[in-house]
Amino acid sequence: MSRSRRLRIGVTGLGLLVALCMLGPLLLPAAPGIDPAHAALLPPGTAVTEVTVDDGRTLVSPSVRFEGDTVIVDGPRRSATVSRNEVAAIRATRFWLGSDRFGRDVLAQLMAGGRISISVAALAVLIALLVGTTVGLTAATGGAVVDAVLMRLVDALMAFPVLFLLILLATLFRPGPLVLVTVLGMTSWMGLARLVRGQVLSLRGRTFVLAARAAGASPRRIWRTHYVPNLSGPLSQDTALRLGDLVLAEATLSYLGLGIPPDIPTWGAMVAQGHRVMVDGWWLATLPGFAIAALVISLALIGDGIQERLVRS
Amino acid sequence: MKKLALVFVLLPVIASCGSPGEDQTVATTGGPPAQGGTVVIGLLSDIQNWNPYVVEDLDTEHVLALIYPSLAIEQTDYHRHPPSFEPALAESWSWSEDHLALTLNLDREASWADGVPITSRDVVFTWQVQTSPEIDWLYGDGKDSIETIEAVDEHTVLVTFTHRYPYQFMDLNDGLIIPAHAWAGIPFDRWAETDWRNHVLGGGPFRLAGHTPQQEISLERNPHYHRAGLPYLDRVVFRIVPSEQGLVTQLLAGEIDFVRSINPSSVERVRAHHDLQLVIYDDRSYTHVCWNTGKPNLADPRIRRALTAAIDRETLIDVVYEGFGRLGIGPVLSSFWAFNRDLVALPFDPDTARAALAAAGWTDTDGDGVLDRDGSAFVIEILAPAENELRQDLAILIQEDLKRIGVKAVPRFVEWGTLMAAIEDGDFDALVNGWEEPTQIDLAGLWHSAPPGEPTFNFGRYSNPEVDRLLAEVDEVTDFAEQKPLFDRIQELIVADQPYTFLVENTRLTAHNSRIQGVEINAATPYFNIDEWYQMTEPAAE
Repeated sequence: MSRSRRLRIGVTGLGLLVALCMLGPLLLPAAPGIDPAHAALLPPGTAVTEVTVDDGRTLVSPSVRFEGDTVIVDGPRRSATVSRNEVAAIRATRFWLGSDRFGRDVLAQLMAGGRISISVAALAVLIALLVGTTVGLTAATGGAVVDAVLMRLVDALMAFPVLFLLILLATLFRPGPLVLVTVLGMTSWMGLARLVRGQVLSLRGRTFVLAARAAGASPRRIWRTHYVPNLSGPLSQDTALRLGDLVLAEATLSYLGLGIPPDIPTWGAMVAQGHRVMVDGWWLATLPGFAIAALVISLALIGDGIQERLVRS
Repeated sequence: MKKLALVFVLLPVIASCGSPGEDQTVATTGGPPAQGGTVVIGLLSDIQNWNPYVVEDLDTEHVLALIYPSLAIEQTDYHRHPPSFEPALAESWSWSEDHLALTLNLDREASWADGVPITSRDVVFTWQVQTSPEIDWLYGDGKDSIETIEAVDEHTVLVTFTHRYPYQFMDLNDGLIIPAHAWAGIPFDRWAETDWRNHVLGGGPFRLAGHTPQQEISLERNPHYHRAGLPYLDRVVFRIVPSEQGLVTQLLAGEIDFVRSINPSSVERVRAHHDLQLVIYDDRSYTHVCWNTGKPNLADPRIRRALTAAIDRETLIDVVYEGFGRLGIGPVLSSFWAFNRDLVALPFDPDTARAALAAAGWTDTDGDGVLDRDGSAFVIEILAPAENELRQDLAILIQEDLKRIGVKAVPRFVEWGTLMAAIEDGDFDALVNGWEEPTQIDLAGLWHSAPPGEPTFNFGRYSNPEVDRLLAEVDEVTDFAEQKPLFDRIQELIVADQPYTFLVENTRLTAHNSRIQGVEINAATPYFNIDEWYQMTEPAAE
């Protein structure tokens, strides 16, 4: 596979995933309601009937029968019987990707979880970019002392086991999207800082920069025409790969119960919940697992493709 | 016993069938008992300590009860009345006229595993240990009503009580008897750090043969056991397998003979295996949501009743416990003699719940699906321990149920230390929790607004002056028949107040290989009559 094709596939994959998560809820019909008693652990593709009752209950089951004036909703252990005149609405729908142990639609959860997983990773990477670039530039341009201090700090932070730090912070603060974004962002900028510093230092000695300076170009112009374009390539490649790592980190934390609160189904949390019932519901852990893999692979392909473009240019 | 034995049930204790009042004991019978054989029992975690008085773990106590003797054996008749006792080390006993003095006659044949006779001195020494402030035994407060224990002679012990009450014998019997001749030389202040593995000396049916930490505890028949001819088994091996799945796998493979608790999800596999027997019985534990009555939203009993009515508990049992479990009713389990049989489980009724909340001023004025009052939304956080998946599942389902009546519940799963801190500070709204109910009915620890001089387990800060008054009255009454009407009234009040939503009375599922015979399984103790277990002899092949 040629490198540019990789980039295309990566971008397409990422685009599809993001579009599915962000636009899916608008395009697809509403997911079936939640009925743990009658619609738990239904395999992907199961057609169900959803009965909305006047008292606000929603009954969902693959087997709904009408006998005279009553509607009977069958479940694995117990059937529910409702009188026809209590029924507010009936519709046929489908669990396209199955239902979980509590009768929740896996497709709806995957889309909702994807929105969280992708947004958390994207925001965290933004923080990392911001902090990492700032520290890297400061170190590269601020003189020997500043450089030494900042780089030792980076070394120290890099030597610290990140997972341990994440667990520690997650116990100190009430888990939530904001804490997670901050924690993930603040623990992943060090590599970026090093990258930026290294790039700037090596660019500074390159002949085209020296030539520009000798020709009397202003520092701002040198930055705009030489540093920024030369930095952007490696930075975007690193960002794509880092985003993949962050998706995995969020999945790990949520898997450990330290990420997003349990009522928000992130992909990592879905894998954690699903692996407990692998035998009865293979789709519960595997589908979000595939989603994580697809996202990370797309990002890796993008990173790879960017690198190829850099080499060529 | 056991004011403090209201331990959190951390293990995935399972849920229930059987009807109230019925004996939950099942005996298996085969050929005549024969001497010999080994039984392998699966355990989730290793023993904590070899000294029963420096242990705070129930599983450890259950293992130690095979090694150290007891004065008497508590029977399983707590369904009908407070438990009765059968003689063990104490061959017989008699009460004084005023029921304040008890004379125990010890079995003259009883001796420690090293051959030294078990005497009155051991009983007195054990009591000194139990009440020693240096040792600070977890259940020490159960001995508060014992004034003295004296040795009348080698085999006669005189116990005097400070006052008369229904559980005098139970409190006396609580705790295993330990060897004075071997342990009295170790100063009490050094007990906590002593390595007791080198000092194990019992008088129970078995003695320690070997221990590989985190792997195996091997016990062998104690030839000096006071019940002549028993135990039948030569060896009991506890194998430590840190997951229920692992235990069941080894049970199915025939490598483990006995597992005390299996999960409902393993039931089908165990049932399908013809060498295995599954025993399903009412456990002495229940799972509930504890509401923090100190929070303004949850202070009103009408609101708490509405929340209970909104939770579809039958579905919770179906989904989380796969149908094994019984609807929770009140603070006394329905399998106990003290249960108020006039009480029934509050019905699932979301319409009534909505109406009650509306009557209390909670309406959805901004149309966001969440009820509000005076500008603030009805949002509660439901805590569950991160270590307990069943309780997390319950929290998630409860969230869905409450959402339907417009209450936003946010589950939060935290590790044990954080959970305890939140409870102590009263910094929680709701908590999915479980209690193991001791056979000594003690409602004060959970429901008294301020039990004097005792650590309280009243996490939700429940307070009802009438309940407090009745609890004090229970203490004054000397006979359990007189306690019953008081208990009945207390249960009525608590059920009406719903400081808890009583979700489920748990069922326990015990599985064992049918080559082990004579097994009596009940909720009193896990290895109730292990000295009478025996291995089925293979029919002689001619």
